[in-house]
Amino acid sequence: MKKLKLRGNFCFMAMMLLLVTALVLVGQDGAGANPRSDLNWGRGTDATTLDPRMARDVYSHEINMLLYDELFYIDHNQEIQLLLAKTLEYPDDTTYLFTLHEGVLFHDGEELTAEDVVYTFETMMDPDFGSPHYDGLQPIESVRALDRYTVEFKAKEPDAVLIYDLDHRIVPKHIAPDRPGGDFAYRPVGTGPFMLERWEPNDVIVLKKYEEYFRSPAKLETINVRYIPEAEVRFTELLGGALDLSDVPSAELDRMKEHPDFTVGGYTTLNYFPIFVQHDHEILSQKKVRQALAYGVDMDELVSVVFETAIPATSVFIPGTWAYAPEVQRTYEYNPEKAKELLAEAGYPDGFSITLKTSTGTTNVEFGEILRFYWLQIGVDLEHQTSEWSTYFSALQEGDFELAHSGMVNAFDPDIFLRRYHSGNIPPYGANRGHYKNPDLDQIIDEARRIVGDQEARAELYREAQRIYTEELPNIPVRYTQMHMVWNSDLDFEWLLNTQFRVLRESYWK
Amino acid sequence: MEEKSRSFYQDAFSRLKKSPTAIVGLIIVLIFILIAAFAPFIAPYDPFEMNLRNRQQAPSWEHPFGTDFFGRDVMSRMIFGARISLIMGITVIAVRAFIGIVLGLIAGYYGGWVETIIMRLTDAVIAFPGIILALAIMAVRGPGLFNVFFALSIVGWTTFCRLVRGEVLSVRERDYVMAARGLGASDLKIMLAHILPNIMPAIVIYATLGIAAPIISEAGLSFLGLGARSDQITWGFMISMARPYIRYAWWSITFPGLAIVVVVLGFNLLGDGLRDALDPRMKDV
Repeated sequence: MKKLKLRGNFCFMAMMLLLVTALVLVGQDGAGANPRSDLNWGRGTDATTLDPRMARDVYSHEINMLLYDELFYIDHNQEIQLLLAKTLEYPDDTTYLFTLHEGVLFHDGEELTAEDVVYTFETMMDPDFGSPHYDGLQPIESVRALDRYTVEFKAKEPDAVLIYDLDHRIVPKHIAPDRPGGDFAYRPVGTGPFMLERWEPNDVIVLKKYEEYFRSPAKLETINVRYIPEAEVRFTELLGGALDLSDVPSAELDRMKEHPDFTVGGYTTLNYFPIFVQHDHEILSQKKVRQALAYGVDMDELVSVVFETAIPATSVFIPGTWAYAPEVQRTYEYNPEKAKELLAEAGYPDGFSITLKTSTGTTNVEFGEILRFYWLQIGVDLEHQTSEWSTYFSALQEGDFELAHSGMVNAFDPDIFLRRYHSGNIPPYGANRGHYKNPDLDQIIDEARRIVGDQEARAELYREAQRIYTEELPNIPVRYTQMHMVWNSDLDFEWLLNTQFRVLRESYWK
Repeated sequence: MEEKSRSFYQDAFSRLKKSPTAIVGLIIVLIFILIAAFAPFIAPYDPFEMNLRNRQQAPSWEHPFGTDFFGRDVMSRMIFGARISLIMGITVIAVRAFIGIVLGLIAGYYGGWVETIIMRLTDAVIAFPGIILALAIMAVRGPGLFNVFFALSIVGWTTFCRLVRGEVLSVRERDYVMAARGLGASDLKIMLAHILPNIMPAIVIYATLGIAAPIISEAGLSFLGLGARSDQITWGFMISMARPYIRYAWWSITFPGLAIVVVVLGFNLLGDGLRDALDPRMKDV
């Protein structure tokens, strides 16, 4: 009996052991098949503010597009996609009527209403608030909440472009301040598919899935947005698996396209990167000087060396868009002799010294170095000053520069870039950071905006604008850009024009 | 006195000649000094001349050290880079030695509260890690080679100060100092004519060994983008600019790096040899 019992015990233990082993094995198998739910995304520049009303730089927008929602957004086909708005109606040619989805909750549980939309726009339209979007909202006569879920925008006059300026992320009235400052920019509350868990500036931004998102919630649980200034380090970490999503040095793109573990996405942007020129500067305000600077550099060569994936630019109009008319544009083939002649005519036969500001980064340093080399040969002594992005960007916004190089992004409509040369948009209330004044161009910009529903007529006006722009050269054209992103092929992701990281809401690990 | 002093340095030189490592160090240092002095005659190309169609060429007979991202000849740039590196090393050490000698002499000679104040100030400066303090000074004054020179000069004098003070303490009660004092020589005369020459060997040794440090610091600060501008050439700046391309163009980062290694090695070998040769206590050996 005793023996039997012992044997029974032994059998029982053996079976338990088998079972446990099996469970462990199954468990391990299960863990292997369980897809990840986190994402490590590497970026070379940190956000500057997470209050979307104050953000005008791409790096802040990339994060804000996950934290907040707009009434609508522009998709990769340049079409309007409603988001917070259920419907958009145009009762007459100066009225825009949005009906909101009901039951959209902010991250703190409060419902989003028409009042929040009105508040968001009213603060940006308040000159004391100091929003960099102030100039774009100038054509708005009024914004009103007709009821809890209806918002009405009224334009001062018919306006072909205003709709693109209504694409703003909505902040909660009960939290977001109506004066600049405070910690809202560091503790943002939106309605977007992700919430901010923590932001350690110049280190990491951790985003967490928002369970109550009004459309289907995100599939990823957390996103770690790591700030890694060195492109080489991002690339190495991507290869090593510490990053899942990052840009890579353009020299590596071809290799990455062949790589079995990674997917490369890319598109030609609606971005324009010129050398910004300060027109308050005595020397630079002269047209012949600006033309000499353009003649004095082989821009095709420079762009192909430093910005391998970019296309040399000719004007503020983007190739392939409806208003682009290369036949009316004046071009500046590399011609140092002509450049010297123009400088002499302008009264600077011995050249002059000038400074260029950019943010830090290898390509910017290389750009400055090559530019300096070319311009030295026409007698222009260039001093290149680099500073980290937020310092550079605030100097740019304040117009504190002689020459500067960075970009303008997302020209959904030609007016969006062109208005930056309107004399009514000089800082602090606008983005005409170079203080450019040209009454002829002002008139064309104003007139073209008033033409609603007749693209032909606007295109005709913009032909003249292109002629003026390339003749007067308010800025010196450098490049149009392409964007590339590389990600782990196990991640379901798509990298598209305009929508960019918005897709992360639907991304998951296969 | 005259006779004796000359024979001491003659002795020292004969001892230096017998040390092969010191001779190697001396030769390396002399070669680099000659290269720096005659850079425009030695360099095969204009160091600033870009040739964008001839970028990142591997070493060849035409370009022994290859070309950089801008198609500039790496060897020519290194030859010109030797100037700033050597000038930086020597002048920074000279300034450091000057500050250190003045303060150390005063502290060691007078003693008392003067010594306490100077030595506590020295302790305070030593307490900061040198490169961190230099970075802080650069952050206040902004980038630029002169500011690198300034920052490096005012952080490194402390060791000289301690060294000089210690040496002064050891000689100030010697008979010849007492004798000079008895003859009514002024404090200044005693310090400069009687004490300083007797502690000079220690300073020379330390200065020679120390020249390497500012060369490395300058390279480090230029590497961080705080030093040279694009119209100046330093080895550190060359390394900084070439680093992103290390996997495609190893030559434009490796050769300037080697130059730093070799020149630092040269000064260290020479310094070691000088220590053996100049140390008066070695005389009896």
